[in-house]
Amino acid sequence: MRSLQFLKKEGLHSLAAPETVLLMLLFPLLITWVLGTAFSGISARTIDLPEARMPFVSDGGMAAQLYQGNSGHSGITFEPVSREEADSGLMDGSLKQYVELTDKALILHSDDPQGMEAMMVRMYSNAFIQQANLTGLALKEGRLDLAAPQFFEYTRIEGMDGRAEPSSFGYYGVTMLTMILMYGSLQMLSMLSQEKAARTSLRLKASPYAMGKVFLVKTLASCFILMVQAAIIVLFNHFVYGIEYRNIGLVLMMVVPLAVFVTSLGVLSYQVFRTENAASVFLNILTIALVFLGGGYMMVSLDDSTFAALTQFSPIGWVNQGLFQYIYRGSSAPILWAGAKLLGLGLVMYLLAFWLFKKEEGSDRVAAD
Amino acid sequence: MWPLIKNNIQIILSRKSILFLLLFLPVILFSLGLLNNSTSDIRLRIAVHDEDKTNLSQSLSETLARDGSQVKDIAPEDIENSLLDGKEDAVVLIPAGFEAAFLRGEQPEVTLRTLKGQEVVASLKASLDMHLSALNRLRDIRQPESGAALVGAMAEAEADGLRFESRRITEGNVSQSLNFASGMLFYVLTMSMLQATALILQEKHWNTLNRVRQAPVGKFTYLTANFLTAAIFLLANIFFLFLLTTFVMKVKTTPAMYALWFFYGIIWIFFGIFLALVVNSRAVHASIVPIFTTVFAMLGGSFWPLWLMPEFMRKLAMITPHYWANDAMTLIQKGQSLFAQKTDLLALAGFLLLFFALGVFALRRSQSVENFL
Amino acid sequence: MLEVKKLVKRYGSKLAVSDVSFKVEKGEIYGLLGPNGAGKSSTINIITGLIKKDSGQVTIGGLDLDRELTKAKYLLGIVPQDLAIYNDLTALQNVKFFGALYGLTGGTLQKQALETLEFVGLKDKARDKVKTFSGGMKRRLNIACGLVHRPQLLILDEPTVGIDPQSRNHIMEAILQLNREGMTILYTTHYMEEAEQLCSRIAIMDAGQIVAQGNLQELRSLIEENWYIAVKVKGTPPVDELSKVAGVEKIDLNGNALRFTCRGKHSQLRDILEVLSREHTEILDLSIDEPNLEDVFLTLTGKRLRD
Repeated sequence: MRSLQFLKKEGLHSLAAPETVLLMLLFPLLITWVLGTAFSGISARTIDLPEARMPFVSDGGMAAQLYQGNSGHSGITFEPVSREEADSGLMDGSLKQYVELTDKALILHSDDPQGMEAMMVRMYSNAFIQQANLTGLALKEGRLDLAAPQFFEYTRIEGMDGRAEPSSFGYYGVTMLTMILMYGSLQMLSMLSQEKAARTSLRLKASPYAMGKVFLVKTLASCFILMVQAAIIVLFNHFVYGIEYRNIGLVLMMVVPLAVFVTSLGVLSYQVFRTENAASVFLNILTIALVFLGGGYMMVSLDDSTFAALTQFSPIGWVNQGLFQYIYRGSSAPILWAGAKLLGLGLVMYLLAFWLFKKEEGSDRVAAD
Repeated sequence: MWPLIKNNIQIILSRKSILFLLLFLPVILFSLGLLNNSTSDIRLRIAVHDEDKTNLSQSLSETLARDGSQVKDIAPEDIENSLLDGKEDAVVLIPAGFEAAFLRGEQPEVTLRTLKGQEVVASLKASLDMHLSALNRLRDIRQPESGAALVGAMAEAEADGLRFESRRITEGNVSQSLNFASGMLFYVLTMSMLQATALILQEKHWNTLNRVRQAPVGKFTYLTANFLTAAIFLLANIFFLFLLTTFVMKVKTTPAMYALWFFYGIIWIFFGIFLALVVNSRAVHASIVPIFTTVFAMLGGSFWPLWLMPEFMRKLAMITPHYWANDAMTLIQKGQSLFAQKTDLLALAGFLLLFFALGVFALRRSQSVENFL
Repeated sequence: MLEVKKLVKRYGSKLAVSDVSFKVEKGEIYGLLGPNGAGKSSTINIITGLIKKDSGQVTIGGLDLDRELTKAKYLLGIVPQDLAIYNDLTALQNVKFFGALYGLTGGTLQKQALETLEFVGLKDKARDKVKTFSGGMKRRLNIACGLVHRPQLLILDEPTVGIDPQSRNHIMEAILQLNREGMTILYTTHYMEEAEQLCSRIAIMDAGQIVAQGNLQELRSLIEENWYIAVKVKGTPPVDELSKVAGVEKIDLNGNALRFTCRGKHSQLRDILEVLSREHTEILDLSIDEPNLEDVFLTLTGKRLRD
C-alpha cells in the first residue's frame, strides 16, 4: 500500500505541471513530422527526382527550342531567361545555377556540379549533344533523311520488389520514439533530485520506508510515465501520421526494457554525480551520442553495413534495429535479444546505484542531502 | 548596470554546465562540423553485366560513366543481393550478340534492373535510349562494318561538334564542411543564447530577483544587463571561433562571417529575453527551447541541404532565422559581402526587430513587480 | 522514552558531538538548547537514524537503534528545521503521503490526515496547493507531516525559525496541547524564551557537549549566587559611577535600560540607588530578575546564546 501511495504521489507530481508534459510530447511529434516530411523524397534506398527547374540562356534558335522541348521525359523544365537576368539572379542569390547554349557548347554554370539537378542536366545534355552532333554530320554528308533526331526504345526496365524498408515517416516514427524514451533518464534524475530540492529526502530517510524501496518505486513510476508517453506518441503517429507499427501493443511491450534501462541510467547518474546539474549535462551528451549512433537522426537503410556496425555501440541502436526488423521484416528475435541486453544492463546499473547508496547510508553526506 | 553584469557573469562562471553550453559547446560542434567532408554527391551506382563484351557494349558503360555515375562490373549471381542490399541503384544487363544485332539494324534490348520505385532510373533509361538512338542514326549515316568503327565515328562526330562543359560560377570555393559547421553553429548559438537569458528565470527561482527589483534598479536596466551579459559570452564565442579557424583548423574565414554569426546570436538574445519574461517556470522553458533550437535548425537547413526537402517545406523554412543565415553564409563563401545580400539581411533584421518588439511588449505587460517577478 | 548514552560523532577532525548523554522520560517536553553549531542537529540526525554515530548508544521506546532501527522509526515523528514539503501538491496530499510511509492506509489515513490538518489550523486549506501558502502556513504543514501517524516521540528541530509571532504562538500552543495528550517531545531551539515556556527539562549544549541539564529551577540554581537588577532611567545613565558599586559583576546597557549582574551580598540595590540619586538620575522602572537560561548559558560558557 505504501508503495502504491508513493506511486500515486509521483503521478501527482507529473500532473502538477501539465504544460511541461504536453511540451515534452509535442517535441518528438513535431520532429517526426519535420524529419518525415523533409526526407519524404528520399527513402533509404531510392532517390526520388526533385522537380528540376533550370534557368536557360540561349539565342532562342532551333537548337535551343529542341533542347528545351525534349527535356520533359528527363524530368527537367528549362525556363528561358536573359543573360542579364541570370547574372543578377546569381548576384542576389535568387538563382543558384543555369544552363547556357552557345555555338560550341552546352555550359552548366553551377557551384554544385555533383548535385542532383546537375546530374540530371548532364545526363540529358550529353544525350542531346550526341543527337545534335549527328544532325550536323547528316547534313554534312547530305543525308537529309537522317537529319532529324530519332528516338527508339532500347531499354526495358525490370522492377523488382525490394526488402521492406520504412518510409521516412516510418523511420522517424521509431527513432523519435526511442529518442524521447532516452530522455527518460533525465526525467528520472529530476524525480530523484526533486526530493533533495524540497528537502523531503530527509523525511524519506528518517521514515521506516526503506530507501531501496524509494529507488525502486521511483524507477517504476518513471517507467510507467515513460510508457504512457510512448503510448501517446505511438498512437498519435499511427492515427495521425499513418505510421504502421505492425502490432502497437507488442511494440510498446518491446520498448519496456528500454524504459527500464534509461531510468536505471538516471538513477546511477544521480548517485555518481550527486548534483543534478552535472548529471544532467552528462545525460544530455550521452543521449545525443547514443541517439546519433543508433541511427536516430539520419535515415539509413536497414541493410547498410555501416549502420549495423555503428548501432552495435548504442542501446538505442539495438532497439531501433530490433523494431525495424520486427515491423518491416517480421523478425522478432533482434528486438527480444535487445530487450534482454537492456534489462540486464538496467539491472546492473540499478544494483550499482543501490550499492553506492548503501555505501554512504548513514554517512555525513546523507544528512547533507 | 556594471554590478548586475558582473554578478551575472559570476553566476554563469560558477555553473559549469551553463558555462560549457555557452563557451565550449559551440566551438566543439563547429569543429565537428568542419571535420565533415561529405559533399552533395549523388552519383548513381550502376553495375553492368556485359555478356556481349564488344566495343559497342563497352561504349554504353563509358556513356554511363561520362554522365557521372559510378560504374562497375557485376557477376549475375550477385545482381539480386546487390540491389536488395542497396549496394547498387541499378544494374544494366547487356545480352550476348548485342553489337551484332545492332549492326544488322535490329533493335536489341538492354535490360535495366532496379528496385521498384526508383524514380531516377527513368532518367537513366532516357539517357541510354538517346545514346543508342544516336548510334542507330550514325549507323544509318556511316554504315560501319564493325562496332569499333561505329564507336570511332561517334567520337569523331563529337570531337568536331557541340560539347558539354561545367563551370563554377564564383571564384570562391563553397566549402560544404564550413557550411555545415556554420549550420551547427547556428543551432547551438540558438541554444546557448536562450540559456544565457534564462538566468532571469533562475533568479526568479532563487528569489534574488526580489532583492534586485527592490533596489533602485529599473526593469529596463535589469534586462539590458542580461542582454549585455549574453552578448559578452557571444563575443567570447566568436573570439574562440576566430582562434580555432585561424590557428587550429586553418580554415579560410572572413570578417563578414564573424559579423553574420554575431548578428545571428544577437537575434536570439532578444528572443531569449522575451521568452524568459513570458514563461512562468524553468521546466516550461526547458520544454520550449528544443522546439526553437532543434526543430528550427532542422527546418532551416542547418543539418542537411534544403534541396532534400519538398518544395512546401523549403518555403516553410523561411519562417526560421536559420534559413536566411545559412543562405547568407553560402553567399559569403561565394565572395559576396554581407551588405550585398539584401534579402538575407532584411530578413534577419526583420527577425531582430520582431523579437525586440515582442520583448518590449512582454516588458510592458509586466506592469507590476508581481507580474515581473 | 529516549535514552542517549555517551554519544560521539566526528566530522573529520572536528568533534561535533562529544560524549552526550541524556534521557527523555515519557510524556515530557525535553529541550536541547544551544547556539548554532552546538551539535544539536547532529545529535538529532543520529537519533533519527540519518547519520551513523561513532560511538554511544541510543534507545527509543526500549529499542536499540543499532539493532532495531526500522522498528524504532515507527515511533518517531520528525519536524526538520528546513521545510520538507512538496510545493506542487496540496496540503492534504502531502500529509497523506507522509502518513502512508508510516503504514497508515485507507480510511484511517484520510481521517488522521484531516484531523492533523485541523490540529495545525490548515483544514480549510487542505485542498490548496502548498505553493500558495505563506511561510507560517508552510511551517505548520511541516509540523503536520511529522504528526500525522501519531508518533510516540516527536522531534522538532528549531520549528519556529523565521516565522511571524502569531504563527509561532500557534505552534507553541499546539506543542503544549500534544504534550497534554501524552506525546513525548524533544525540542531543539536557540530561543531561550521557547525553552523556558515549553520544556519541562532542558539540556544546554555547546561545542558538542552538554554543559548542563535539568529543569529550569535546577539550571538556575547552578548560578544561584547571581541575581539581577533591571533599571530604566531617564536620560543617560552614569555607567562609570555605577560600575564602581561593589558586588556588581557586570552591567548590560541597552539605551537607557541597565541590567546589573550581581553576586553574593544584597547591598547592591541600595548602593545603586544611592549612585543614581547622587547623580540626579530619575528612575523610570526597577525590578529584580531571576536568572534566565541566557544567564545560565553565559555563566557556564562565557558566550551568549545568540553569538
